Amino acid sequence: MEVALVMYKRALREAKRIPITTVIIPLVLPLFMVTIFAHVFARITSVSGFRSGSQYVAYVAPATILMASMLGSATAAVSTAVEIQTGFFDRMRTSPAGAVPSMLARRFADATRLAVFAIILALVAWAEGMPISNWFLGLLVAAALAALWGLAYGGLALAACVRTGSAELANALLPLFFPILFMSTAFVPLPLLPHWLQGIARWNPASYIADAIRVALIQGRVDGGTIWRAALGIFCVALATQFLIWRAGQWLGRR
Amino acid sequence: MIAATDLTKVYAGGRRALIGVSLRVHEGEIVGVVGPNGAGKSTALKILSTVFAPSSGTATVCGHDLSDAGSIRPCIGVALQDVGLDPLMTGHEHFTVQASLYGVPRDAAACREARLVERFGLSDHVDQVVGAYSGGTQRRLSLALALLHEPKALIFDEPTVGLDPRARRQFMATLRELRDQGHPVLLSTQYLEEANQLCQYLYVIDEGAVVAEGSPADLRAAVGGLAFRVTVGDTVDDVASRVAGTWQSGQPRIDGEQLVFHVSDQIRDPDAILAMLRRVDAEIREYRLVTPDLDDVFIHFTGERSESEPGQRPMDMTVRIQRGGGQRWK
Ligand SMILES: Nc1ncnc2c1ncn2[C@@H]1O[C@H](COP(=O)(O)OP(=O)(O)OP(=O)(O)O)[C@@H](O)[C@H]1O
Ligand SMILES: [Mg+2]
Repeated sequence: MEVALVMYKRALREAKRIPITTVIIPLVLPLFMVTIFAHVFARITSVSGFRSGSQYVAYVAPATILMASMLGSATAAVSTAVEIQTGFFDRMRTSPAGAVPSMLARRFADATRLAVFAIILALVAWAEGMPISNWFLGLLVAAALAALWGLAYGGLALAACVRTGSAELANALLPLFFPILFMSTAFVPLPLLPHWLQGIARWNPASYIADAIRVALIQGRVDGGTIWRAALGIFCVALATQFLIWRAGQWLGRR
Repeated sequence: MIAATDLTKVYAGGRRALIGVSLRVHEGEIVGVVGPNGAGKSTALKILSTVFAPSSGTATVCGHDLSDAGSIRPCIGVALQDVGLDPLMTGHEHFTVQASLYGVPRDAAACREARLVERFGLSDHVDQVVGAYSGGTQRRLSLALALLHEPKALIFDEPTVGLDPRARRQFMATLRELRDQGHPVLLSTQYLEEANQLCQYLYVIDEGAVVAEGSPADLRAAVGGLAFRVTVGDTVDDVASRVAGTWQSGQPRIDGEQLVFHVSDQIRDPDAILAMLRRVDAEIREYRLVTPDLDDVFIHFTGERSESEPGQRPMDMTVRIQRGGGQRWK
């Protein structure tokens, strides 16, 4: 436990030492979305399918939060790949604690950062005109779901990096946020999606996570059905990526 | 004790790095592994450090089987060929992380860190990030970290690379101290003079197999004969290439300004060599007949070639000088 704490502090310290990759890069695009993009497409809400009288910035804010989660969740993977290259990873592997506490701690440090990103983006969206009715509940749900989603989704990049030791692969996976969010209800409500996309969006956990955050922020309530589906989606993704990480770790031991 | 039997390793890419290595390190003994680049030294040491499993073969480290890596890890202090440091962390942070990885209590860790920092000359550096360290300082830190949890057995892969003469001498003294306290020490090195001074027993590895083993003295004796060293006036490479054209009985190796011939008949061979050198118009400045050193041993058993050309071993047999003398040819 002690080792996990030391490693967690180490990961946070490291994130502070390289703010460009850990803070600036994951935040630029979502901030652009919530400030400029939301206004460019402001009129979209007059189309039927949106709640009447709503502002697009309020609709799209959860999408930008998810975007930041997906863009910022690869830090653990990149750092682990660097550790594999420098041999620090083998230093940990040959110790009684092994490399698992470090990987876990890095992922939780990522999640911590993503929770903060969610709060920052919610505040910016509020400044841009999104109403927030229950601050505590809204920010709590946004931060928690953003962190958990980043934790689960970031496992994919981590598995790829552990398997190959290549940080480039984590970066190559970054654009994946694009199809995942556009094939969900994060940017437009379900009825506005083409028919074939609606099927995908219904199975896409990003839809439910975005919806749950939106309801919590704007309406100040927890929608049981949506939250439940969001949690199930996150759990399934976490299970799948954890399996890939475990397999990659097994492979490292045999090489 | 560290004991390995018939370790083989085929890497995922299909590269056969070890084709059967057995070695043994007793308590209170420094054992060296020497061999050309790519021989498989690091592969063997990584297997024994539980970095990855062998493809076949068995080993016990401190009484635990390799498959029980969890029991081995607390007992061994490891410094691999890659220093394995985090360029963003300071030296002190490395000690903290290392202590937590090995579960060393905070007080003990602080006390030992102070001693190791002193001993490895790191006082001026512990508060700097490792990325700003010189290569030798990084090496010293990695060696100091390996000792933080006071391990029973020690495994060092080319530990003295990059160390200045003083740091090297200090580290060798540390190793001798550990040996005298009864720890088994396994190390690899490219510095044969160092191996000669430090190791009680040596394994010469080439192309993934042990080609010779024994104490440094036994190995020198096994090479037999004498080394005939000739200092030539012209460029030594030039002379060597001229010699290669005419001389059939064993090519000399180049050592600095000297050509080193292996001779078995100390009366007739030097005469023949000198006559040959005069025939190829080499200017002879000085010559000496000496007993072979470990460099001669190394060349004798591994052949003079680079990693890229899988050349021929001078003798297709393995020499083993068992502990306590007595030669066995296989
Ligand atoms: N991870 C790896 N994957 C594939 N092949 C490898 C790997 N590591 C080493 N090898 C190969 O295995 C062989 C033995 O390598 P090893 O690093 O054990 O040699 P070494 O004796 O330590 O050499 P050096 O003196 O250069 O350190 C080499 O041919 C090398 O190319
Ligand atoms: Mg090596």
